[in-house]
Amino acid sequence: MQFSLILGTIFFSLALADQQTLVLVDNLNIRETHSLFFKSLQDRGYTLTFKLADDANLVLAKYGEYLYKNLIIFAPSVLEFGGQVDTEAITKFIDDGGNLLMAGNAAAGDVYREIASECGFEMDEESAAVIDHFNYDASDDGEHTRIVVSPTNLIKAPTIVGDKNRLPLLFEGTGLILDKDNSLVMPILTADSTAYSYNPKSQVKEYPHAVGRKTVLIAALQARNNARIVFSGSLYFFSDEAFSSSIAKVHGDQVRSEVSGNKALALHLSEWAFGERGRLRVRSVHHHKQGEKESSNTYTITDTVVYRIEIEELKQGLWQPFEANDVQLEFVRIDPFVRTTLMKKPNGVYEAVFKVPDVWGVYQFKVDYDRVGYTRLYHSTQVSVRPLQHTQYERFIPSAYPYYVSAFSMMIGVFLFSFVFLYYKEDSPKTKSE
Amino acid sequence: MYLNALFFLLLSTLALSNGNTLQGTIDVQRLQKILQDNVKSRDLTAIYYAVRGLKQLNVAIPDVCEVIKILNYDVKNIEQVFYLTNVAALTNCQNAVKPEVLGAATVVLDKKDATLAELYYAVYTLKALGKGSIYDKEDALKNLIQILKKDDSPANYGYVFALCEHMGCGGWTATHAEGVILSADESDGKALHFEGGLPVTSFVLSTIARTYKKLNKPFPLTDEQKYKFAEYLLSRRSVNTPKGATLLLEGATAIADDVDSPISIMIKGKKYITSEVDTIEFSITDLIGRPVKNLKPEEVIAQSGTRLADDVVVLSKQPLNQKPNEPTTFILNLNKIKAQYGLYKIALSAGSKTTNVNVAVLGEIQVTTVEVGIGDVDGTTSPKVTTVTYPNKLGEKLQADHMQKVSLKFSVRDKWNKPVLVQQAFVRVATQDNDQETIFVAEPDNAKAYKVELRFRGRFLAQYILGSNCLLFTMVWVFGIGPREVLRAAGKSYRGPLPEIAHIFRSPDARPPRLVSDVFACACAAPLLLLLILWAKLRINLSSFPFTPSALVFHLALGASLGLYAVLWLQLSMFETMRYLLPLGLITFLSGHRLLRRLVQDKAQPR
Repeated sequence: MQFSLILGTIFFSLALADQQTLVLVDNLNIRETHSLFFKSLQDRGYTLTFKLADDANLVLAKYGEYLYKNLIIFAPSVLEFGGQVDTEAITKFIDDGGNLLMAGNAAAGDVYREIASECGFEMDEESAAVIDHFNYDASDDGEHTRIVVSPTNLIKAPTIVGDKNRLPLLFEGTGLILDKDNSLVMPILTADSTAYSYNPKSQVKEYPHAVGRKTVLIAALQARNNARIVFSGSLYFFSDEAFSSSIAKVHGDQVRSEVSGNKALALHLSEWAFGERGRLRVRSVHHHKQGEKESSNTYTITDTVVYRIEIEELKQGLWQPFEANDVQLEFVRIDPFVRTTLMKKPNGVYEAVFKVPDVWGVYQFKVDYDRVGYTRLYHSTQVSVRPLQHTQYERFIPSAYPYYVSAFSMMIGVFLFSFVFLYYKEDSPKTKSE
Repeated sequence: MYLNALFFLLLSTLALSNGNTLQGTIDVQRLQKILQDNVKSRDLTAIYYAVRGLKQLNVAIPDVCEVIKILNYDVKNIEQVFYLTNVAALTNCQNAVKPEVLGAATVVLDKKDATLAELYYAVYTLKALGKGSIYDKEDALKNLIQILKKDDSPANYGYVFALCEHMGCGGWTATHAEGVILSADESDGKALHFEGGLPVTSFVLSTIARTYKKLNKPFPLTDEQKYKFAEYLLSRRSVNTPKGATLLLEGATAIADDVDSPISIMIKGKKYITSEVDTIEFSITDLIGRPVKNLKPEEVIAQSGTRLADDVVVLSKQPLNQKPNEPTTFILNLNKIKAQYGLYKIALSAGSKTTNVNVAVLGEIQVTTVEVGIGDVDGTTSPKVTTVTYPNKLGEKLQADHMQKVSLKFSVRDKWNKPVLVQQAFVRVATQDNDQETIFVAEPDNAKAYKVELRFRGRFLAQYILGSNCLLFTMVWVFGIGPREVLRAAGKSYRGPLPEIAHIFRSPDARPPRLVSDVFACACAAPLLLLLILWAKLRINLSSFPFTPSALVFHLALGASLGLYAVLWLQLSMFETMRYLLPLGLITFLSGHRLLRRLVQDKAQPR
């Protein structure tokens, strides 16, 4: 009882350290205009520290220890951060595993662009906004920048965006461009084909930076160290007004909704960004020869091997068995020789039974589970595979019977001949002499 | 054949800040609903604010006496006691309150280091219970000022003002209010609020307003300050809690009740008109959506209307008509300019207040024909041009190779067949499954004809996207280019299951049929059999066999060695065999040596 209590305390304090969040804002008014979003974070146990983005006393780390695990930047009009925070400090914060949620708007300055490009996104030029003359909301003020985005434009990753996004979304802000070759960045929400990102006050003369579905409205990145970044082109997207406003599309399919889907999506995104969802870990790995119980680090070619891995997912703050049916195991000697999908067993156990290749050498069991929205799960175990011992070859080969018979007849012959050779006694000379 | 494009007359309120009108109102109905929902809750704070807000709205309050009787609260906590007693006072159910709540208030009043908030709660608790102030006015005010000196935040000033309201020292409030108002924070240069946000802003404003009303003095805010405070309150209009709703309502009412309050001018309902509907409705109200006091309908005038593109004045001094039975709605008839599309700036005045709204008026647009041409990239040959009329599709499949380009030429025309420019003229090219898309921007030439050159491979659908903030038009139309190759190789699929790999094992060598090996096995055994038969025929005489231990041991050991080979074949490993063979070999060697020596000795000896 006492033990579990102590454990509980440790867990709680660990969880608490995870939830220290610094919120950088333009003016403290944002705390009120975005109160629903902040309140939902506080309800989930985050400790929010609000600071003005140009506060001269800003620090992220003290004595080499980070004071915060998460950083929210809702300060599009900031020209330069105050204190010890700058692009470099934020990049280092991410490199050291910190999570970042950042939202801008059409007026966002160069600091935003710098951070965005550090994270693998490109933000459109200053004063450019996403315009969609075909999908704008009735509350738009004439520039068609308050656009209605269908939830079908969301990335198909329930871990990040949740699986119940059916309401249209309101967006007003600037567009992002993603590097296609960067496999770590993900377009969370993209605009429709009719949208483009340009200065709403001028006619389209040059090719816009982002056109059609290439215009990314919200992007995310999961770094190799599992730090997560969500970058939204719109600060309005997270506001109370957007959360509670009704939607009426002026043209086209005249989509109407009592309430926007912004709140649900924003909450899901924050849950993902701050590591409440989509975190995986390996609990145990066991492999052995079929029919045996003991694990071994040596197998013989063509042995049948059983490999078991237990995977857990963080759900509601607890590590629970992970459910999936696409976990794969590779048996690798430089190149994979076998790649097989692991069978799902109860309690998050995944099992594969396969025959070791007839090529010997040093192999690895590798599970590399890298899916959109989940932390990357990588586990490898090294084993050696050796050839057959000479006693392990087949002994009674029918087609080799002539050889067996020859050998044994030879041996019998030698044995009998030894008698004849040693003890043969000729009779005839004796009779002659007699 | 005309393309009947969608056409819209859009009116845009690009709010050009004029300093004295607002672009929105606070939705009192919504706030009232929040309050009515919350008055039934079981949370003391929620009930208090809901009751206070509903009282302000003069709406019937449901009976909460039973609820507050059973509510849990801390009798020592002055804030909760304050909420409780005031709910009781506002709903006339003082009987539901336990008398011991008085204790909390007196404890605070006796305390040396009570904060102003605590004093405020305590005094108003007593007031709610009908106990008159026991304060000596002058001394009390001096004490309050002493406490205020320690922390002169706007919130604390608010408490002192509120206490003064009760004690009757409104004069002091009047001398200090302006100073406090000047200390308000400005955000973005357009909104004013006090440190502490909505609660403090609303509290200070409403307290000052009440005090000044009592003193029969005009509200001490300048027009600009009123406007900026109103802007702040507007930015907070999406509150959801009963506390927020009540505070917003009180703050907004304080500003709106003033004689010369900020007014809000905004477009009501549809923000665009078509040639059929050529009027727009403006709603002109105060901050909380009530008709503007002292505003005569004939004072609402569209002072001027200017086309933004060329600064041509299109209307001046056109009065707006008040909609019957809706005193807040005014109608502007734009019949005169409904055919002249473009962006207009309309200066609207209501009494002394003016605002500018940007209005976009556009007519019908159409694209009748499109010329599709295929020409060489280097332009040596003149392109072969096909003309397609809307809504027909290009009949044939276009054939082009990498040395050729496809060009499209079209012009966008208005209802009177005059070419026009649009903000967005894109040609979208997508694969048939709508999976990949490429968008080309068409550029107008001097004659306002749009041209675009397309370079792509594969089979595609082409679609126009023409848009502007003033007009809209889309058309989908298909043509194909001889399938040559896909646009690009399918993007590498990262993340996700990889194809499975199964190892291919080496197949065993082919073996002859069993019969063949058996026949050959017999053939191999034949020489030994033949030897035995011949020996039997010869009747070999082995009589010189000496029955000595050495001979017996030698042959047994030799036989055992040979037998060991058979066992090796059957089950032993080489190392085990060696272990047995070594002693056997030694025995064979020694006994064989002895046997041979004996045989030689026997031969040498004469018989």
